[in-house]
Parts: sequence; structure tokens; C-alpha cells
Amino acid sequence: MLGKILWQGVTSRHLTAIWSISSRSKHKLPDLPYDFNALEPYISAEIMKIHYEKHHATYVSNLNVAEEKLGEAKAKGDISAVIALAPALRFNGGGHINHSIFWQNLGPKSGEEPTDDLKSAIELDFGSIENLKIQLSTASIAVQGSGWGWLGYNRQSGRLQIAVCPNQDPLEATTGLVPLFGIDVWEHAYYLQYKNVRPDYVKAIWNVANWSDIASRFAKAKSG
Amino acid sequence: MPDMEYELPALPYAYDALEPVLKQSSLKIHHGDHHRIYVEKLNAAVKGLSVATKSIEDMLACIDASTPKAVRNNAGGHYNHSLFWLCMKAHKADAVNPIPEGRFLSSVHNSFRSEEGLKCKIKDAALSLCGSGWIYLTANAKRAEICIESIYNQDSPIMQDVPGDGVPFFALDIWEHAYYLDYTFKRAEYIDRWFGLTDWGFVSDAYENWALKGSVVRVSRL
Repeated sequence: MLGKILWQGVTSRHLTAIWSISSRSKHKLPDLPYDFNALEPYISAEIMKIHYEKHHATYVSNLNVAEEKLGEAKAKGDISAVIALAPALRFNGGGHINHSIFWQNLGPKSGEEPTDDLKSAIELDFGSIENLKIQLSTASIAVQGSGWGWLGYNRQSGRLQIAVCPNQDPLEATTGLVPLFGIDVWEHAYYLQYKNVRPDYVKAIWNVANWSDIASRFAKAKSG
Repeated sequence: MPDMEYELPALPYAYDALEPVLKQSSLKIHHGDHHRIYVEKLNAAVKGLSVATKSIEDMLACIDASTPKAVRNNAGGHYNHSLFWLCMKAHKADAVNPIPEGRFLSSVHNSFRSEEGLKCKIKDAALSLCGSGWIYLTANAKRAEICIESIYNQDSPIMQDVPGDGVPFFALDIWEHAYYLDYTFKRAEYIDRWFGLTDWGFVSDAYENWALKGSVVRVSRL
């Protein structure tokens, strides 16, 4: 009886929608593991603040909106609406995934270089760490328009591979490669500091690559 | 026929003429660096190729899926920016900037009910473009109705393998480099303020005398 009183005036359609929204927690901006100025002089505090607080935050909020609409479309059985949401999910979901990895991939300049297993794998697949840097840099600089350059792990072959993705396409969902290290080459990632000189930004970013993070992603990908 | 030497066109206004909407320093980088580099790379990319004898307008119409990327991206970049500069004029702060009477304005009323309706749709398209690209208005000899086209990177509806059969007579740059120094992430504000710069006289003329005749708008006459 109590249940009936509580839900009076609410149809079963409302119940399904309410349940499905509340049972799915919203995405949140992850904590940044360092201050905005921690990557200077290679990436300015000004860029970091806008990149994180505006660009990444917008991907998160738009992803939440898209997922809410997805819940509603599914509750109505509206397949057409579900399909129409695919670009927004891909773009905002990809943007959230990519940037969440990116903040971890970077860290204050430590002077570290890859060691142990990761170093061996890089030397096997690229000849040297220097060669990896050259190849990933070249690929990232050559991205037409907006996108990302990636060092990825190929589970099938057990090898490291370089790939580029357009716009916010997520690496794993679109290629199957496990993302290890990404270079954001959307202009918003560097323009305020480097203007049109993307090669200078890509060269600089290696100073703040967090090899511990990259190594732990590699270890996880290999064991998974 | 001798090879063309593509040239960076001079802007039809001084670098500070579009202030406060676009800063002098931003325009210098956009025109003097981005566009200049498209032209230089285009000249390098077409050396020895048969397209090297073509005007930029004719070259764009030849581009298809088999065209080398270096030619495609730099030819597109050169043409698109050349058209973009022509779509703007010196800005009088706070001046109203209506579309002049004529076939274009009539067509705008037919398709979009009002100038505001057109601008709203252009803005929607620009905010929905998930990457780098351009918003074009197009029409052609068989279609007087104006279409808004969102195209990624430096592609153009003129290119053979790009969907859309219209001739662009208006181009709005939505690459982040077009607005980031002045507006950072605020693309919406850039577009709202950019309409204060739009040279609707040029756009109307390009619609009536080029697009409706099915001819690619000439940008290399500066």
C-alpha cells in the first residue's frame, strides 16, 4: 500500500526512466594529478587550465546529456533516436576517454626515460627510444585537422604500434589498440603558446611524458 | 603551359581593420602564417604534376580521392582562406550589418524566413562541427535554394569526392586557429561577433553572379 501511495500519479514509463537514470552514475571530470603550472615551460598553465576546465569538462557534460537521451530513447524503444545519438556519444565519450588518459600520460619533467620491459619493447619495435619519438612525433604532426597521435599496444601481435585518430575517435574502440601514450594535436592543446608551430609543441611534450604511467599501461595491456 | 606559381593574396583590408572582433595579431598569424604556409606547401606539392598549370579554382574542381594528400589539403587551404578573407570587411564597431536587398536576401527569406534565421542555422552547424572544418553556403545553376554545408578539414564541396553539389559562395572558418587567440574555447561568441564582419555585399554578389551560374567563385583576382 505504501508503494502505491509513493508512486501515485507516476506511470510505469516514468519509473523506468527514473530508475535507469539514477542507476547510472554520471561521468565526472577526473582529478588532475598536478597543478596547472606543473608542466611549464613545455605546456603553459593557461593552456592546461582551459584545456581541463573548459574543453574536457564540456566533453564530460555533453557525454552525460547524450547518455541521458540514450536512456530515454531506449526506454521508449526508439531505435532511430538511439542510432542518431551515436555521433554525440563517439565524440564526447571519445573526448572524455582521451583526455582522461592524457592527464595521466603527462607529469612534471622528471628526466626519466623508459626502463625494463617497456624499454625492451620499444627497442624491439622501433629500434630505439629516439626512433619511437621521431615516428610518433612525425605521425602526430601530420594529422590533418584535429586528432591524436598514439603509441598503442596490439594485443594480437603483442607489439607496440603507432596510430593516429581523427577528431576525438577513441583508439581502442576504433582500432583495437590499447592506448599507452597519446599526443593531443587539436589546436586547443597548444595554440595559445605555440601558435601554428605544432612541431615545436610535439617536440616539447616529450619533456613531460610520464613514463611510469605509460609503463604501467603497457604492463596492464600485456597481462590483460 | 607554364606551371602556376600560387600566391598569397593580399587582404582587402589592413590587419587591424577587423578589430575588435579579430585582433591584428591574430589576423597576422592566420593570414601571414597559416595561409602563407598552405600556399608554399601547395607550390611544392604540385611541382611536376599536370594540375600545376591550373588556376586554384580549376584545381579544386579536379581533386578527387586519388589526389595526393599534400595537394588536396594545401589547395583546399589556399582556396578556402582566400574565399574567407573576401567574406569579411572592415568593421565599424556596433554598426548594424544587414544583408542588402537582392536575390540572395530573397533566397534567405525563402529558406530561412529571415536573416536571423540564416545566422541561427549557420551557428548551429558551426557548433555541431566536431573537429576542424568550414561552414559553407552553397547553391548552383540548378538549385537557387541556399544550402548550409559543414565540411571537415580543408575539403570543399567543389572537390569531386566531397558530398554536395553546390558552389560555395560563403566560407566561415571553424578551425580553432581561426578564433582561439581571440575567443579561446568560446566558439559561439566568435560566431556571434563574426557576423558583424560579414561582407554580405560580397556574399550576395558571389551567390548571384557565380554560384547561380554554376561557376566556382574566383578568389585569385586580388
